[in-house]
Amino acid sequence: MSVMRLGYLHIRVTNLADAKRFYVDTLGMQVVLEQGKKIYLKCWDEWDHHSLMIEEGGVGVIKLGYKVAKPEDLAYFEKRIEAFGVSTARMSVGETLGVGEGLRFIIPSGHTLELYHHMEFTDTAVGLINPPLFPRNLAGVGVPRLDHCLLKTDNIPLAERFFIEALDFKPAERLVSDLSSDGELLGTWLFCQHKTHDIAFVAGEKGRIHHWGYKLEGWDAIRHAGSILSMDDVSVGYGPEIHGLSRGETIYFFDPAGNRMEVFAGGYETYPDFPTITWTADQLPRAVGYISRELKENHFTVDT
Amino acid sequence: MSKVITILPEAARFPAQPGETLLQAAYRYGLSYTVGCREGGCGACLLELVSGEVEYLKTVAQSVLSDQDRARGVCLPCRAVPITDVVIRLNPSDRLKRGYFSDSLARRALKKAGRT
Repeated sequence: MSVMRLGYLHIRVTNLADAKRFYVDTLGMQVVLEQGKKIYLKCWDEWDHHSLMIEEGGVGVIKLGYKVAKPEDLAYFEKRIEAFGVSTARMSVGETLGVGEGLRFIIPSGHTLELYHHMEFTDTAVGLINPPLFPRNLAGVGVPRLDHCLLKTDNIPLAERFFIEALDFKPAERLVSDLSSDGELLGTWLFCQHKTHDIAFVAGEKGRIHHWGYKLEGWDAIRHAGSILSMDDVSVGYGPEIHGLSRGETIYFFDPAGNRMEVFAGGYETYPDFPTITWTADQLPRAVGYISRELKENHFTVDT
Repeated sequence: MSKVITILPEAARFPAQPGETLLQAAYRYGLSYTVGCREGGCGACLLELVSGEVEYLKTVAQSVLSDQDRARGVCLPCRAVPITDVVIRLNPSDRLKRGYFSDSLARRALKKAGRT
């Protein structure tokens, strides 16, 4: 009984042609399907139908999909979510393109989340028989996989409690105002399998998204990504840096509609008995940028 | 003729190139202030348009800059392209950051454009 990973994000962009150019030529994602004002995309090392849907009109996140391990997990989580006091709706096959039956609900942070077990298998770009290390014709950054997202909400304890109690996630790291008994929880980074984190929340306006992340191989890949971002004149928000919180190597940047994303490498593996790490707010600059210890004032204020 | 942008209260003055946004022009002279995504998505760079007219060549989401905002004289410098000379004002909490060569580059460009 478990949630496995962030499978897809559906987002809004102001101009579909600009977005397509960015996701295909700069990030190196592959177009799965174009349907009117929507484009479905995936990364080269992903085997499911899509990991990103971009739709023209506005900016920001529409919904997130998390894949569960077994078909019976849907009924299991349905009970747990309802017991928490969040109402769920059943999704029929194909309601989200390529996705089987599922559950749709609004999490306490105001974001729409879908749980599903089946998604159409479309194979990775290198295939499954004696695959090469990577595709030879990879464009731009060549992001291999979608990894995690950081959402905003005005009630971090509630968002965290929902993911722990209803979805069996565990906090890997937490950000608190201070270590006193009345310290405030300002952020939480949660995992569901072995990643550093699968979803995270930071204090802010409910329903907004700070960023989503793509997992790259390592520091050299981050360096290469940074070079591509500059060549393509992409707006870079922060980095390259190393996070103290998560030990991830990072660059944050924006798509042509202003949605923020991250290329992330390193980090560490988590386990069911992983002891939660705590960061105090006075160390926030080091938690975000371990080397420079200089936090850009707009890093947390800007969202979509 | 080049459109001249003025940023208050510091009164930084510099000409824009055809088709470039207010923010692109400012950055070209090493001038900056508190902005966000620079792609029209977050609204962090919204400023008061004191005078002049701008146009938006790319779609801007209503959630970032509404028609009411525009009517109230607010502009989105990362997307706004000047069609006349333009005066914008920084938010009171902000400060214009000047690069080492900002003033000399702006002076030189104004002179070249015949707009001293």
